[in-house]
Amino acid sequence: MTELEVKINRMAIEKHVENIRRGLSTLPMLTHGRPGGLGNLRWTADLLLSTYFMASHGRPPSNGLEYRVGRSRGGFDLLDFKVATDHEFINDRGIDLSIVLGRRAPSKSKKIGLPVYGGGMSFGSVSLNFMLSRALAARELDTLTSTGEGGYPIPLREFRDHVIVQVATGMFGVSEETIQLAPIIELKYAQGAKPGLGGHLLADKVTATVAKMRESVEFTSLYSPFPFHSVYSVEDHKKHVDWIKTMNPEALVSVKVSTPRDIDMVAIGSYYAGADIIHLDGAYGGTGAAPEIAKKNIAMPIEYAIPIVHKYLVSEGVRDEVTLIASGGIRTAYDVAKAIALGADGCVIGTAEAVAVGCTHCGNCEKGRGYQIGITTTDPELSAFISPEWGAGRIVNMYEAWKLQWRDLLARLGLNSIEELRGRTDLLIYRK
Amino acid sequence: MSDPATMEHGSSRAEFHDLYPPYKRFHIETKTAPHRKQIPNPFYPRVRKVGLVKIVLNDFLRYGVKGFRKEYRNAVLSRPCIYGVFDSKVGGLMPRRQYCTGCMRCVLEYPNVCSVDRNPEFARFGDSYWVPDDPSLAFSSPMWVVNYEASTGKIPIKGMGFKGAFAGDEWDSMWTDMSEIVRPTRDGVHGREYISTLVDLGRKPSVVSPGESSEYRVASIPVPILFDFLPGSLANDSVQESIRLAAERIPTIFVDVAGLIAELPKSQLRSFAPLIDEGFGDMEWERLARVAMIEVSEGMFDRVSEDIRESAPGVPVFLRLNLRRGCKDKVAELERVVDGFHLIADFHGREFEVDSPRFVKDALHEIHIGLVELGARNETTLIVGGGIILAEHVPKAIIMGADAVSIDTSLLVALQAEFRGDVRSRRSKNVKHESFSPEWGAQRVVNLVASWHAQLIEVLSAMGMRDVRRLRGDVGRAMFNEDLEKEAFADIDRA
Ligand code: SF4
Repeated sequence: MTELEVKINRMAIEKHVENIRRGLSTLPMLTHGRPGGLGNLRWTADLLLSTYFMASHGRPPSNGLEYRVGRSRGGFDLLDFKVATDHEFINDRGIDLSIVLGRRAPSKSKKIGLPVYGGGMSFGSVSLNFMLSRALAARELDTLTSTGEGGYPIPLREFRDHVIVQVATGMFGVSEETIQLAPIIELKYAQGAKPGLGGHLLADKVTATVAKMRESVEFTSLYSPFPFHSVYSVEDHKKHVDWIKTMNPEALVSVKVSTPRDIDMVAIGSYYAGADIIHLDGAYGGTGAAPEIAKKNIAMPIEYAIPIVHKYLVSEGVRDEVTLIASGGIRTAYDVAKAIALGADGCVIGTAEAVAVGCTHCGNCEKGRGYQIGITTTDPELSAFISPEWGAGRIVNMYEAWKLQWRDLLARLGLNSIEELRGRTDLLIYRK
Repeated sequence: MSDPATMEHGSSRAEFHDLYPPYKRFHIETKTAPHRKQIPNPFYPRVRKVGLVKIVLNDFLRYGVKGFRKEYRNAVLSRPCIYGVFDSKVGGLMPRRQYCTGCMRCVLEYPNVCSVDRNPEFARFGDSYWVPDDPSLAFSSPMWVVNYEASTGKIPIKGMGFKGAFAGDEWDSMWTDMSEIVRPTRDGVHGREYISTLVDLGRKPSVVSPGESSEYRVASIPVPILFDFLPGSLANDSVQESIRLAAERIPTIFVDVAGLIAELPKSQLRSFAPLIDEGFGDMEWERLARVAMIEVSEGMFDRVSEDIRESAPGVPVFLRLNLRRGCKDKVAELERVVDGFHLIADFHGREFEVDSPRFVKDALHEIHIGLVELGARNETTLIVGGGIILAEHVPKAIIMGADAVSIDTSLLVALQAEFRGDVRSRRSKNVKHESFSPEWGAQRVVNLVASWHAQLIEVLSAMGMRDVRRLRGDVGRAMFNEDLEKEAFADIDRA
């Protein structure tokens, strides 16, 4: 490319960046002509638009957009709290929204400012700029984000106290050095969107940088097998946890599993193997690419898995020793609150953070260049659409709006902290 | 040819391999078979013309005089769509709608000028079972998915989480299980190639008595999917021939009128299941011993059963039963008389009952359990058809008690037959016929089965299962919405 061509290209990108940023503010305010093709039953047009609004303004919309539930006709969308809410938010700052991760060894426990942290999205499946946006936001909000299974890019190391390192079956980019860099190590056994199946990064996305980070070959598809080929029993699993603890004795170990029929057994097995955090990833969770048959049909939704595991851990007398984290289809502040009322300590968020920076939940992330506005892409041109500061600002804003909703809800429920909400199914009502 | 036991040392390698063919992994050969006709895109992008003119003017203003220079056109005219919808010479004035992926970037950039709606043409393309009333499914609706599978032979893969309803009443009321860390049966990715999808259809005695003539009559197929009979009003010659060719190549079994037996080449007889029903006139009985299996309707069974046994003593005989209340008793009564049952629901998966017809999965399960209670389940075979239109329905039907499934309208959709209203009954006149090359048609059907086979392996692999036969009736490998809801939400008040 000549210098002039580069310049012209940059001009075109600048134009589109401006347009997208303006559009994200304008679109939620459209009073007519809302595009009928936007959204779906889970992420409805209202949920997408209200998330754009929250990411722009730091508060929930008051123009009638539904920002709490979708229309999936089940799970979170039919659960409700037994209190009336209105648009006058009770913003009681005395209400404590923090949660403690890892209670087995109090010296290692980590408190985070929100009942949520960011889920693993690997370098390669998403752009570096988006990863940096998430990390910046995590630092500002005093929470965490996760590397996913694609290595630990150098620029992310500045945020090391807020970055979880994921160790998954492909071991891409995993080294003793990266394991020693993190406050939490996440052993990913499975992913809710493709439970029991391996991961797959399509060749188009394996650019030179991605290949280097993953210690692989450029433009060659990469597979993460299922399962860890060194783990076929709880005893093997324990060895795995011990291995991590030996390499980084200060770190908490999180075990991420999806939701089979015997999820209660998996959870207790993991507890006995020494996990500090049990992270359940439900069937309707997000992904960069997964077989449609797996997303819809394999494993149970998170709404069912949480109470099953919570009650079982209570009955085994170990519930207060482990932190139970839920993910997979948690879209809103209200989904988080419901997950906690069902028995989780907190949640992991992925898609909602992507929506905050403009994801439309269209599902094209698996396509060659990845998503068209620079989230799930490694294309340098498209990556430029999100600057880390802009992205972080929007993610922080979205969580500020969530905080407002949590404080308001807890105040109305007569609770002083989000931790008091855990397992309070008596506060829920099922509208079926 | 020599008997291997007495084969002399030094016999030729070819001779040995004739007797003991080397292991060959089952594989279905796929090849791209593009659509004959474009399926309407689920999305319909629109651009307001006045708005478009304003955009162009604004862009020229933005770049000033430079904007008029040829080199700068790229920036001035750079449009939001990376999928080529606005890439024709006149750009947004004539959007190339077939390329739209519904990504919404145009809407994000120009919310007052661009809009992307659902395409009503897409909803009209199939019937209510094929394009359910849930526009959010778009590229995940059965119509789109089956066409994709038939053209590529691949597993549909997409980004982002599932977009549809939390659960449904029919196939969507259950989820299949997966094995997490601790199941010793788990093979892992590298074991996937060794997962068997072979099924035996017919009578399998539970005890083998040496010396006695055993009642072992089976047809084995490497993938548990058969092609059901489609009457001439639904399937023209091109369709029928494509199905026959595909069945021969995969190989699997196709059910068709018994009279066809005289016309079929020998190679296709092995895949043929002649149907003897009320329309039966006569056939070449002497060729009957060479077919894969025989299917007889309820009304004809007494009339032809003796002739069949005489002409084809080693071929499994199936009773074709339309699902309705009372089928369980019929099956119990005849399970020793026939070698298996082909249970048929309507094309939308419902029983043939006027009042509250049950869904095929529930009717099937009742029959399966009835046989289990009789202690006869392992000796006989249940094939189920009707309402099985997506890859996921195959393992689900097997979990509910089927040994194998038969498919019907999926074949029509794969071959791009056009639906002009609901196609629910086998007597429907709502399918438009067109002629096409049976070669193309056969490849579409082969691709479809290859894709479903690969997806069945995905599901079995997720469960850590090596053999589809082990899945039959194993409801422990499924989770039902009703049960989970009761268990998980037991202590939550209902509104
Ligand atoms: S929705 Fe996306 S693919 Fe469709 S026209 Fe708009 S930009 Fe192009």
